[in-house]
Amino acid sequence: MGQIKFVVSMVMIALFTFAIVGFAINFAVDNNSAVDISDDSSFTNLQTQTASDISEDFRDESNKSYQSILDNNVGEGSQTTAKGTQFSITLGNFLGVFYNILKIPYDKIFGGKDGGFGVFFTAFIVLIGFIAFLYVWKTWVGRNPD
Amino acid sequence: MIFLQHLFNLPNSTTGLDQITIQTIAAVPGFSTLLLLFVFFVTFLGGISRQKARTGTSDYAMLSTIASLSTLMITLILSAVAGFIDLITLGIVVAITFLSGFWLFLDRKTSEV
Repeated sequence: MGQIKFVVSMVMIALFTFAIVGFAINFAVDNNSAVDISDDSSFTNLQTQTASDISEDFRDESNKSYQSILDNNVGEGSQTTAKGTQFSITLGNFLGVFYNILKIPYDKIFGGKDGGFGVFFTAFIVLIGFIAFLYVWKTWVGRNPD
Repeated sequence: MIFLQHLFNLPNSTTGLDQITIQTIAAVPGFSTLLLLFVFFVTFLGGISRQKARTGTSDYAMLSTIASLSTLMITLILSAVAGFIDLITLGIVVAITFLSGFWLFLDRKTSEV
């Protein structure tokens, strides 16, 4: 049950991000806004990447495999799934989507690779890694990890 | 008659209230950012305190999402007029909305939203 909940959360996060960026872009288009978020290329890139990751390959490939179910005679080599992507919408795809989604706040708020926050994140991640390692090791050795 | 010397230039109100605000923002660039922070924190902190008073616990992830969506709406509406909001601020508001949504959906139990 935990894994289903996790995957559902991932799908909801991707859809939420897509909806927010789409809303902001279309609002600016409808109102001829002076400041348009589509001027910032990182958001439009996120939008197209998320769309292609979640929907387009999936839709085309699942149409092709559905067609092969309906037809009585499937010719050799025709209408088979070229990439099999309808079966590959797994955690791997979503991790790519999340990397893109989280990269944007990292760039905007913390200044990205060249910002001064790199030290903060590195130290924080090392600390979390250390705590995780100790936790796992103590559990493995049989001691109380708390 | 003695006229008081003003220490600042009065804004030009010929074209209306929009221009007064835009000139204020040009003089004090942090004004629009602080206005948006005000909107965010009123919703966030107000929601936390009232929910805690009523039910005993407060749902931080949901309230931060609600607050960031309200701030996003106000930012989008203000961005229609040139001079209120700049692109960097708009990008940061959208990024904070993403982070709140990320937190919200990872924070839910199985039976909730």
